[in-house]
Amino acid sequence: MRREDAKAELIGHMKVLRAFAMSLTRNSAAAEDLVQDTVLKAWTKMDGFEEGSNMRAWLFTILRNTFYSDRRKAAREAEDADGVLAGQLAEKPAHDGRLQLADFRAAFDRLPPEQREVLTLVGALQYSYEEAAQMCGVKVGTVKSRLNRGREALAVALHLDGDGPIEMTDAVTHGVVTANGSSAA
Amino acid sequence: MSPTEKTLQTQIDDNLRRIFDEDAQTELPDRLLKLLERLDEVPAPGKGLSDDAGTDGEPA
Repeated sequence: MRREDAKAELIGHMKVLRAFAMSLTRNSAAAEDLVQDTVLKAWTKMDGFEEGSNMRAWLFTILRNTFYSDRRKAAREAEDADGVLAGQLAEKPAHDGRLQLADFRAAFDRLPPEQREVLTLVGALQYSYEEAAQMCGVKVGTVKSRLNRGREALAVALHLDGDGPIEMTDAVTHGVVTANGSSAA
Repeated sequence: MSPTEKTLQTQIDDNLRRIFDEDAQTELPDRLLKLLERLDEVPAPGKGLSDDAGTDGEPA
């Protein structure tokens, strides 16, 4: 793949790459660090990228591997470990029956990164279980398990029962999203 | 999956998509734009570097 073409395609993925980094780090500065590291790694090994394959998935793989590698180095395990969630997610949203996007985001932020990762890849970006498993380097069953636990935790945290629609009370965000569709994947 | 569970899953996924799209619509910071501008200055040794797209970094 010609490097000019690779660069152009890479630039086209930057915003989505940063959004994926945000889904893992939940911190703008950390997300930018992660994207920067990912871009540099990707660029230096671009000659190994197989033209015609999915660059976005390839970049996602590099990014999430870098994230977990950095995370291990920093030993920030305690607050992110699976299983510590239930006690943290008991607060009821301020508006009964209504879910503000901010409430949802706050609940999402409290999930372990392993669950946020698969919720983003499968739930938000509509990757298949198999694609997500390949990107995450885990078995399909692990993806399904993390996805189910993540969805259950969100439902519990937000007191959702599936009987009524979630109302988007963040009108500005809703308008922007509606206008732009959801073509991130 | 029951209809109620399906509805709930759809609602959650819709909101996951919304928060992702919100982040994806944010303009890139200068720092990343400058990185892209200077990317050509970064040496490209080619194949054989660390395997970050492989299994490295897999969480336990």
